[in-house]
Amino acid sequence: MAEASSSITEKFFLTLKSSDGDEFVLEESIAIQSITIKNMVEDGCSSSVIPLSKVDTETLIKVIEYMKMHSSTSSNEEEIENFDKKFVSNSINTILNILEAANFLDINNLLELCAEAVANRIKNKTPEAVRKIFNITSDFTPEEEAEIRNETPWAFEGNLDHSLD
Amino acid sequence: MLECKEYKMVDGIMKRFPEDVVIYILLRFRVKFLLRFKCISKTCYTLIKSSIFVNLHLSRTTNDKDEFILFKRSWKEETSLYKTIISFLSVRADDYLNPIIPDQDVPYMTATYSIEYDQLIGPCHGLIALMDDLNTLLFNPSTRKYMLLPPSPFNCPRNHYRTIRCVGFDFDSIANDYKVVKKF
Repeated sequence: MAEASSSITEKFFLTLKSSDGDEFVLEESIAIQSITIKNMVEDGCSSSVIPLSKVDTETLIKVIEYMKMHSSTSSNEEEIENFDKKFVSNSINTILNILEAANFLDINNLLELCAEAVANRIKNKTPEAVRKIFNITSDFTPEEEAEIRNETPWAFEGNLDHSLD
Repeated sequence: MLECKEYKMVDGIMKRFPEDVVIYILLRFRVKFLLRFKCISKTCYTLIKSSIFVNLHLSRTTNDKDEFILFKRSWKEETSLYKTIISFLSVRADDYLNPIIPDQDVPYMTATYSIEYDQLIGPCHGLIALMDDLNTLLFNPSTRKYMLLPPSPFNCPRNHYRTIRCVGFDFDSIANDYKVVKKF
């Protein structure tokens, strides 16, 4: 760590390994947007490959893309905004994978972006569609569910979205 | 007023995400959506109804700028019995003066030949209190529920009239409940 502070211009690189076994080399200053990785670096665990057992290759590529865009000093606000907009237009499953990774890697603004995107995508959906997207099996009996629906029938009115994306 | 069943994680149906991530997503929803998603599973139901979640949801910052008109109508049905209808109308430009909720028939409100003495106070945690000299009605526009408070034990003596001088309605964090004060 003493070396890192003595040389400002020198770049450090980390190797991240996805759950599929693919390795990605990334500049340390970019990677430490992840608090999980930052803690590992500070604890001196970064000399070898950092295994990210909960993040698959496809998701890790997206997360790295995000971190690069958000750390680069050359990208201006408008660029970042456009990037984020495009980023959340991925399929809901992809976003859920990224959300899961953002939580594990502890990247707060990515977590926020994905949570907002998930909320926007599912807010007009039927409970059935939400169950399918999140892989939830209802443990209510049909009678119990009918009772809950009858408490506030107006919350189920309108053009609800049945699609799974 | 709010149901404060203590929250306990039932079983981990949402195994994929830790509870705090689920809460993080749910906090972005308006009450209407939460009422719909309550029926997804028992875990969801318990979580959304938990006092922890309710308090987090109350303290979130929102950009919602809803404005409503509260419209109270009453007419005499029998000699001393009045029927009161309360409407909540939206004043949003795109659905100007449309009722956001079906009209509520509030059988409790009386003495409504004049609304001069009615007091409307709030919102406090999204709740609105409507008072006439006899009754206090709490209204939650988000859940579309209303509740009549039990009558005050301090009765007005016969052949006397009283008018409300001032009123208060707020949350008492020590008692963990809402309080209404009327001064005559």
